[in-house]
Amino acid sequence: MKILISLLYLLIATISFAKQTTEISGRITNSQTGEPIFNVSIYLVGTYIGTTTNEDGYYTLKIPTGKQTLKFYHLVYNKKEIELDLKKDSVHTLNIELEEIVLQLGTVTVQGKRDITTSNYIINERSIKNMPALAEPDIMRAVSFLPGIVQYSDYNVELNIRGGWSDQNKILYDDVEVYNPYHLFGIFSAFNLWTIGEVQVWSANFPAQYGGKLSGIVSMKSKPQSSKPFTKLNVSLIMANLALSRKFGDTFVMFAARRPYLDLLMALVGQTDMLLRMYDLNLKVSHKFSNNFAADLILFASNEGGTFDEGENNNKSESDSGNRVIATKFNYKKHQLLFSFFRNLLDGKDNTSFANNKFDDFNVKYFTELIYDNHRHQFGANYQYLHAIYNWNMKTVLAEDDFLKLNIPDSLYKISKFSNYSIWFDSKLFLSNTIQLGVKNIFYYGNNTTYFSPGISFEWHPHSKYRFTIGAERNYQFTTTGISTSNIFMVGNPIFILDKPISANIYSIGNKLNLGGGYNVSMELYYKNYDRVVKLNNDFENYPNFIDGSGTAYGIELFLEKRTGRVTYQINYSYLKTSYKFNNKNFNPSWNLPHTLKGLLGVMLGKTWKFNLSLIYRSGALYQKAIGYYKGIGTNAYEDINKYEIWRLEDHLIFDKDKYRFNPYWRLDISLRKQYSNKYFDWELYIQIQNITFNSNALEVYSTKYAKSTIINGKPGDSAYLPGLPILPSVGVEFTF
Amino acid sequence: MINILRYIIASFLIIFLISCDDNPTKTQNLKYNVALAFVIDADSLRQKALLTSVNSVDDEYSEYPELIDSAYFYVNNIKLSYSLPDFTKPYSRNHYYNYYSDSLYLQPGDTLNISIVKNDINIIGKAIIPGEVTITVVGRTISWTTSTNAYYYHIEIENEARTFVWETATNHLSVTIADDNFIQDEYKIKITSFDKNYFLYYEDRINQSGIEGAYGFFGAVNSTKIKAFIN
Repeated sequence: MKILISLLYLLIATISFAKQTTEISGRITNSQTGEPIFNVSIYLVGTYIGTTTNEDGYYTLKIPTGKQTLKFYHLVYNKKEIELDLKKDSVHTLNIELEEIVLQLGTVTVQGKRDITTSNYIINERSIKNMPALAEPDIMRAVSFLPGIVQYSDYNVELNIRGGWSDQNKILYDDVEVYNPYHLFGIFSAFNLWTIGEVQVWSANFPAQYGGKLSGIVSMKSKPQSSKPFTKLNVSLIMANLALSRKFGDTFVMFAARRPYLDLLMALVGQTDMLLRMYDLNLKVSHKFSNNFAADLILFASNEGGTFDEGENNNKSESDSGNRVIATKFNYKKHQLLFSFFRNLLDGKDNTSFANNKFDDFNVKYFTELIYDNHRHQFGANYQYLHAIYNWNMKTVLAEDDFLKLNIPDSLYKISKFSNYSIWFDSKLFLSNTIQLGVKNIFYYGNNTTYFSPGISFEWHPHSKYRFTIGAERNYQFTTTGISTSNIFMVGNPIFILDKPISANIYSIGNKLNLGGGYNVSMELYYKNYDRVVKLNNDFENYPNFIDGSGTAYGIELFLEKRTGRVTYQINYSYLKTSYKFNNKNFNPSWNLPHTLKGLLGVMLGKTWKFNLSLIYRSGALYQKAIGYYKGIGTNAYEDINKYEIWRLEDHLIFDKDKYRFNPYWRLDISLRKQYSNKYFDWELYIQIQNITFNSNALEVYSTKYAKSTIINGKPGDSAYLPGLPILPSVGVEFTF
Repeated sequence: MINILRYIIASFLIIFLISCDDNPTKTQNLKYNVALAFVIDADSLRQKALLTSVNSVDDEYSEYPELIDSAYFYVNNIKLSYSLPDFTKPYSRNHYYNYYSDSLYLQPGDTLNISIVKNDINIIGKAIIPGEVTITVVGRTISWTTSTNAYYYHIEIENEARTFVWETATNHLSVTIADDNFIQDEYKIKITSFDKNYFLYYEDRINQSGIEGAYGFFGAVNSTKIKAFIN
């Protein structure tokens, strides 16, 4: 029945209504330089009629006659609105000059597209570059400054979006999902900023084409094709980064590579106990075969390796892990076909010291869009084949090391496979000039079961500066890491394929107000209930074995930004309450930090100096407080000296069941940049300092006893106070040719 | 316009100020000053319990919790005897309990009630002995029937020469030996069923399980042993 209703809806949705139209064309240029602007979005207000400029800045658009308002949007230019009164059979030419937003300091959000609603942000590459960074500008760290998003540990860029596990986020690189997108225990994300043109983030109202996750979507699109050659070299104290793009006729090539030299320096001074390496490579080749047909080849590899001393015997263990992406995308008119292969691997070279895990995600995706005056419809189909091999044999101390916290069995060999078919639609309809309705649904078919993932949204914009949105949706997710608990550090998590998906419903209500003068303010409320979530059971024999649970998350987000002028800033406050229930017991995850206040500030000093500041103030992390201890019969059979006695004497700690929190944590970061130019290239010198007051970000208490003696040594309150990020000035220089 | 902005910024500040967390780091008093560790083993003649004091973590020098003697310790009205443990051999089977009984005759499904009284100590508890299981072996897979009142199973195997010893725990009803060092041989197989009290303590490390009036736990286990050739 549901399928019939949906088919009927699709039929109705494709009916268009004929109207008298005329054609308008023109060229859009930079008001200061006169250069043409590529990729400007142009559309008629209150309709879905729109287009974008080509590389020479030209556009052509068929629009209904009569009074119309045309809007011009671009990520790095101030938007413009033009009112027109168009008559039939006349030639209309409209050339526009747009003013470039030079600064992009102190805010990470931009309003580059008309579809941006609440729970949805676009981040500009320039903003990320200017933010104070930990040596290297990082996209995920920039995303963590958005409302409702928690980066629990300063050393781990895993994100918890609106109370969700970090594995509930879909991280997309040119529409290919990248799992475990992290470098060096999570300190950096795997993406090179200089290859990215736009980052879009959703925390609700997910587009149907990006379905399949419960909490968030971070979609990164590589830089748009430009005929202007681009070369960027960034050299910092720890890393070198090269990115370049060129256009040869109808072929566009983009290449980027980066690598830290910490391991080389350590080896040089004889410190070989733990050598960590990483690199990432990006290659994109695009070719335009005709005006209607183009194809992309996308290659991406991120890798880290390590050489670790294994102690007494002076053995060394090697490991490599990372991600590989090979994808081809074909665009024919409004049709898009994507073939992608993703591999996430953890490779303990000798199979004795680390998890070996290969996770493959093969996808074929079809996408098309139908646009009419007052309604637009996106349709797609997807075949996904997941294949995972879990193979490890961990016999060294590494497995027991609290530092890595690998909650996995010592040895395992298992293969999992899953085929998932889905078709979807996502439609938007203008019911009137001020009211827009959104309807979507995804039909999944996998493991002989069908799942429906519907969603509805309602938007009301009674004034061009005000927008009110309500949304409700149901989402499914077919994979989980199971052990991703936002630790201080992270290692590449095994990704498990679920027999039965986890699911959640999200309800959100929000509004946005443009106050003029570059000021925007928004407020949003949300409620998320998890029908089913899972966590790994402490049952290694049937590993991976999951316990079913449920949960809720709700919160409020307030956001204020000033986007123009020499001083720009944004402030946001998020309230979050999240809890999960397993075995009829509630627990609050570590990222349940009720209050978070985040701020960014940018100041342009003269024409060449830029000062940026970021501030985070948030609730202290939860911990369990040990209040007493006693001697009792033990429970842990695996550590027993006498293998035949499963209960033996050991220390027991008594925990206070009240919820304790560390002191609130706050962190202040700054950066200062000075730009120089000569006739061959521009270069920028920067110095950035993270956590300038060196505050401690206490996250956990180690309430462990010491097995050496039968006396608890020290106070069980012995805390693993993680020192804040070191006050390490990261100095570097960027060259742009 | 400026007024609106002021109002918005003031609202932010007010929300921020009223939302600051309390930081309850004060020391919490212990609810009880005594702890019990007592697992009834239906497979054993001797039942052993350990009753100790609880030390506060705020003590400057943490010391060994004291043994509690002279308590009236009953299980289903049968009094347990006191025995001074020898903690110099902490891993020796018989030296880490201070109360015991050789007079308890136990059957699967029996409900056991404990009562421990001394001065201000008053502990009560209840546990049910899990049922026995029937074990079958096919290849390297060991399966067993459900044990009534059991929540978890501990599996141990060893051959006569003890050249291969293996153990694991699960909430399922079968395990497969997946160890590269496995040797085909005749094995002693022991499946131990944990009751709910002991399982909850084992799994979640909760402060109290199956008792009132003290920290610790009172649980029951039952074991089934067979000999079988595993290939």
